[in-house]
Amino acid sequence: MGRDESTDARLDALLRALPQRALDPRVDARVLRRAQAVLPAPREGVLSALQRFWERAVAPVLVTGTVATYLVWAVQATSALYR
Amino acid sequence: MIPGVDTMRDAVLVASLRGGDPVAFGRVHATFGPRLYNFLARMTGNKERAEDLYQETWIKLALHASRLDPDTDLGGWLYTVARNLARSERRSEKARPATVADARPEHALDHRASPYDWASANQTEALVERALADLPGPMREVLLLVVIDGLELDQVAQIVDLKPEALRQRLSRARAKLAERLDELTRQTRANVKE
Repeated sequence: MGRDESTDARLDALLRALPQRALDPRVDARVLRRAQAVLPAPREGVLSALQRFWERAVAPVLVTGTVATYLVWAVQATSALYR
Repeated sequence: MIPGVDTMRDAVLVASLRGGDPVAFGRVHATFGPRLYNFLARMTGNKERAEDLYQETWIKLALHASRLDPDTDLGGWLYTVARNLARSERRSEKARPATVADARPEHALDHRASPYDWASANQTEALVERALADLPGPMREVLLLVVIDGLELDQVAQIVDLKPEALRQRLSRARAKLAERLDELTRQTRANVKE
């Protein structure tokens, strides 16, 4: 368009100097809450699913199994002493 | 690329948003919120409408979060939605009768204000604000996105759905129109002060 670059630079500087229009923080917080409310429920990650499986299934079974095995061995060993 | 936003962080945020993470959503909102609102406020020239469109933009992101592409440019996505909402608003605006409040953009200084008002206001700022508000929407949006928000031309071209060369031309015309309007307003102001 053949416009003077310094004129453009001056105009740009004037535009950049305009104050930012700010939203009331309370309105902004309300907007965020409303949007988060329609956000789909968080999907569980693979790692946290594995961790939950470990904590709720594998670990209790391992502990119970170890204790039971030890008790059986202890009873058998004690009874062998009196035989 | 939006200034102050890096691609790596964008990718992590998109992955978290896809999983419906509200904390990530909050981070995106904190990063882009102020710039988006500023853009919408100047596109609509009306606080209430800008707030409505701002809310609608975030609701759209929330509803669309799980379907975002992993390489989504979040800033570009949000600006595109906000810009399209403002554009639809402008169209429906044209369809309804104008009111006195609509004729005067928010914060724009009335050019018939008294010399006292001129003295108390930041005159240059008010004139630029008014000149910008008087530009046609397509010209205003490119100035806002390129000059005020500092987005790259390629990104803006995608947001406003133009080829980069066409965007450069529109930008040039917008600057010329802004300068012209600014001159007119300055002359009117000087004439009013002399009266």
